[in-house]
Amino acid sequence: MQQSPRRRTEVLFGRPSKRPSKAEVMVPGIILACVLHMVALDSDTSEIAWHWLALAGVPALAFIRSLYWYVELRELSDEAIIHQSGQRRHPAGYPGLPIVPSERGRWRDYRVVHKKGWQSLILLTVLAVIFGLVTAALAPSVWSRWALVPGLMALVFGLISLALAYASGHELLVLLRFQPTVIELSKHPIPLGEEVDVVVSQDGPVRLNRLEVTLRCEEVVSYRVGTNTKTDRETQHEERLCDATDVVVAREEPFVYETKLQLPRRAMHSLDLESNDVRWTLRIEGDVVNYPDFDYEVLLCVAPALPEAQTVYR
Amino acid sequence: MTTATRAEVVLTPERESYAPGERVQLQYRVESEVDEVELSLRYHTEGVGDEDLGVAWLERRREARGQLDITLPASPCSYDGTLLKIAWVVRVRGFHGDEPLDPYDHPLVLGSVARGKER
Repeated sequence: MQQSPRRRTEVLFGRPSKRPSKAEVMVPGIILACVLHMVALDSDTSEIAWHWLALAGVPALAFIRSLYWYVELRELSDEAIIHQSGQRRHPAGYPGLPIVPSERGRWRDYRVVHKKGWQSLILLTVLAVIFGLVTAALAPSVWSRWALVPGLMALVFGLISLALAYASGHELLVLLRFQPTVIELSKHPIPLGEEVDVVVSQDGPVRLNRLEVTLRCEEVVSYRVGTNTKTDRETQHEERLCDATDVVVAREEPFVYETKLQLPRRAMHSLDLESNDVRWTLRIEGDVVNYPDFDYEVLLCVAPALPEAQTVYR
Repeated sequence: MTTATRAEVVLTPERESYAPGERVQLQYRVESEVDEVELSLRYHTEGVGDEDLGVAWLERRREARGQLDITLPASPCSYDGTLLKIAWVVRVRGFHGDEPLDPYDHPLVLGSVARGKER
């Protein structure tokens, strides 16, 4: 899937992957016309209606962009528009597959990278603070007047705030206490039908009632319903790779579990499109003794089966 | 009013499915009156999710018939899953001047992926 060189107009207007519809040109055009009409009405007093002019900016840009691409692309087929648009980034030679970062491993060649959950911790904490502030703002009116509606709202927001605070505390404890479970592979992307070594390791010190690693393949599709986007999932393949009980890990001696994995040759490979994905993931669940449990997912890249008697794709 | 492109496509070797990355010969013949022909190898998704499209290769020619060698892409493979399907076609679209005609599609199966689970 080759890319043509990007022209200045493409950079400026962002080349679309489909032809703008007439509605996409007309709607911002009509909004722009309405706003300009309001400017004209307000300008009767010989003062420029700056607030209306400021409002005109967004529909004006949308109108110019849609009109430009509507005219520019009118002679091209849908296929030519898609072909010339900037394609999403994918691993070399594998259009439609996800880019999954991996680094050099200690036991095998590829370590699948799992980013620590600091982002979710920050998000949970910020949300907990916001809901807490709303509760604090409502509380005085409840105490002073015993009003029912503000009281119920304060109760709901307060409970949400507490739940978020609990979740962020749990996340923080897990992040501070554990090094994430390490997954290493002898090949990555994993070719379907080929045997791959898998090493699961957990640094200590930690005591686990159970450590489970599950391989899963899911179809994940999203679709628009009105202004909402809905997502459906369907599991196509599930396999337990590691199920260790009573794991005691010393500080200097990581728990290491080795196994082999051979994915079905005729299974579907990983897929990463705009609205249709096939996700191969490893779900790692740890039941920790006297401490919050951990549970996270790492994305894998599974490549199509190599044709018979061929070792690499051309 | 657009009219359909009448065409014929033959892939050599003729098979039910092709391996990802395989090299094939494509012969085409357009029977409609056209000024130019656009040949493309494209996939689209069907099913529950919004449609995704991709074009692996595209070429515009003046000749109404001809042949060319193409290398099939390594992915995504044709798939008949539970929530989504991926279908590949060789698309032949004629042009009258700048006006595109409705295309002719020749289906192609890339890879041999098993069907998804029944829902």
